[in-house]
Amino acid sequence: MAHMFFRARCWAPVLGALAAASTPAWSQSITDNLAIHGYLTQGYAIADSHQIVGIPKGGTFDYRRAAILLRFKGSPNDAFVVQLANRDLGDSPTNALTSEVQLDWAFYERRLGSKTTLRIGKEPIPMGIFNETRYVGTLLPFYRAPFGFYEEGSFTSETLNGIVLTRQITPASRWKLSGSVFGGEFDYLQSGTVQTSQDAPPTFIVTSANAKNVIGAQLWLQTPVTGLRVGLGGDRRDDYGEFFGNTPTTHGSKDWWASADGNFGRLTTRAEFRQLIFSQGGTRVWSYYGQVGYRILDALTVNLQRDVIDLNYRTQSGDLHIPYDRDNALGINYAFAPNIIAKFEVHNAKGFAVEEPVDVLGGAPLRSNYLITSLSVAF
Amino acid sequence: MRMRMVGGALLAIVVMGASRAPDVRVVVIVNSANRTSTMRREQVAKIFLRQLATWEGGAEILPVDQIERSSARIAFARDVQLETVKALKVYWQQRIFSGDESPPPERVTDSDVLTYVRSNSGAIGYVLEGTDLGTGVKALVVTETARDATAVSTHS
Repeated sequence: MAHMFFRARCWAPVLGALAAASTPAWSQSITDNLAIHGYLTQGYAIADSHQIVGIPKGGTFDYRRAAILLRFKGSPNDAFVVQLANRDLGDSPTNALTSEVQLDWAFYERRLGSKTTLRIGKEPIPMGIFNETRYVGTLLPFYRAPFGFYEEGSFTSETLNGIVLTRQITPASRWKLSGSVFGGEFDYLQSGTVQTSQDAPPTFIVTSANAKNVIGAQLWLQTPVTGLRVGLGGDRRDDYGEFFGNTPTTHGSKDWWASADGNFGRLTTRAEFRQLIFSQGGTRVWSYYGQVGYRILDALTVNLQRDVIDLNYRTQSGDLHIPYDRDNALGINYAFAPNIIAKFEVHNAKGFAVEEPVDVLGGAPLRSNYLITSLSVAF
Repeated sequence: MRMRMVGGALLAIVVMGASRAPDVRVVVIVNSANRTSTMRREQVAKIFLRQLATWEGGAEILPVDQIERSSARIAFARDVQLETVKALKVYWQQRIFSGDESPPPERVTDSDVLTYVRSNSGAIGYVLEGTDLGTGVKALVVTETARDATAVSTHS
């Protein structure tokens, strides 16, 4: 009971204390070699009909992400980084399979010469614009990184157990090219409605899974246009788990994505496209989004987002195209400081990305509206 | 170290302030044992973004910042880093929470910065122009366009 009380109530004073502490003094290194940083986003979220990403009809204050990051620098070329994290997704059934506090990152970083960095351990995957900072509310235009591209709770992992090698390929050019390659494995959750045939009743499941033999890469090209960069990446992996209710089996998948990220003073624009192809069954997932943000006043920004997921199931009678999710969002952010930001956002969703049994193959898409209001701090 | 002034573009460490700290200038300082006497503005800016990590010879560069609200910090950000303190704060959040470098340590006063630089042979900092530097610290000449400054090795 005490544990539940802590989960539900005790983050408000923590948030207040962190906001008060988000001063330069807190940004200091404890010593010149040890730095401690952290972030916290506390939200309230409510949906009007169907539960989406843990947001229930009754509303929830259990909408939060927080982390403490420690970076110890052994020398100019060596560092060790540890991050502990807490994430709550409201009433999401994925909460049952995640721990209250988790060891998010633990990696050793080695600089190899002036342009190359090697990370070994559990480190963030260099994927797209947001993956490495996807839970840092002060760096996101909305509460979460676009759901279709990055997912949350299930079918995603921010991190990888393995290695990441990053190199500045043409750092001095007007076209600055950098690239990362990564390899390893990660655990994740699978969730969704299981329907083995069009006649069977659907059920909603959440299961543990893992991805092995992950190999991937991410390229970024900084263009001569100030503030504009474009990216391209991809990976392949072998998935192990009860995928969509089958008995434990192995599935391979291939994934590629493209990104455009523009920051032009008051105007911010982003777009990303991703395609995931499963080797067994031929299922394809396309997700893409577009974001536009405009800073009306120094502290006030308006953001718009269109987020889409499409599925293509290969059935015996042919391919079945499913408009899995359409999420349109409008958000307003107020930055008390660059590291203290309040957000209010409304979403209109249509599709099957709900946490309840749905007839994905034959049913009509479900409509739901939800709102999230949140306060983010970082130090 | 060889030094060439291109077009007389010697910024002399410092630049006039404009908006928020109109009359404030800063002086870039290093430990007096440091053999470097001149650097390009861009190099100094990169040091404070942790994009240059070692002095020529391999010693670690130890930049020290001032707190955000200090006049010296505002002037340094504007005139040497060519950014606002707010924009730099966002930049550092990106770096920190990607698991990357942390920003330089901050000191509250010019005196604190002088103490730090005096105590660390690889240190570099800045103080308000006119501050008595005392012993063990020297001012750097910061040029805008000198092309042959080789005091530091690139470490981006």
